[in-house]
Amino acid sequence: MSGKYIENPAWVGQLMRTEKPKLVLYAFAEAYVKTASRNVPVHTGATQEDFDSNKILKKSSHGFPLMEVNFRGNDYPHIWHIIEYGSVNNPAYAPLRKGAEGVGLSWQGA
Amino acid sequence: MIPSCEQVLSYFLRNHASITPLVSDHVYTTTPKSPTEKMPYLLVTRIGGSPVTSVPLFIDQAVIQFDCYGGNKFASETLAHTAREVLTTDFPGFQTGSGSDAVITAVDIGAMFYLPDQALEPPKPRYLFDATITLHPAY
Repeated sequence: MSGKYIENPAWVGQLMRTEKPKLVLYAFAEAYVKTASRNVPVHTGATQEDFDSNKILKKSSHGFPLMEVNFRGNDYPHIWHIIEYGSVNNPAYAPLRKGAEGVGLSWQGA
Repeated sequence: MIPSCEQVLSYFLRNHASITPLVSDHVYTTTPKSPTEKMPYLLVTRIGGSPVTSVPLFIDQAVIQFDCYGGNKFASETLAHTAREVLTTDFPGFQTGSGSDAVITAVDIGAMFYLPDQALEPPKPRYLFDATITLHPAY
């Protein structure tokens, strides 16, 4: 007996509308946020006095970490990329990439 | 002992015939003291990675970030493309001469993008890319 397998292109969407995958996704997201938090240079960063450490990591709508850093009293508002990728004055702390790696996720983007 | 991926990599790139015309021997593992004077240069930094197994502690997977400062945007991109190419074609295999011999078993190139270094005034063109290097000691 033989048969032809036809993949339902909507299976991911259908699956994600159920509860279990969402729980798994949120568990991953929670672990990701915790691992990423450990790599944010709150205590050691050269710029630690210049930003509000409580506002570095936020959660996206799916619960995964987003990084947003605002300098206080400065018209140069976004320095998240300096923390993630480094500069001549700062090493690449890479909290998002280290966090992804720490929970077994693969970093695919920039 | 697992060799230092940064040490092996920086030695390899510093002595590669395709890289030296672009940056001379300016391949570093930490930012040089006078970065503007040292441009063009290539910065190699380990930002993560873990061994494949803890026992035996033999094969390591290092996630490396490459900061390509070429002096201008096009030169930076050329440096990044060249580095990616030599990493995939010539780096795998036995690497010696850096002080810690290593066998490179795999190179997986990650995302590449343009991100000028805004810590410098004026901002300096820089291309970034990641690579995951799998290596073990040379025995």
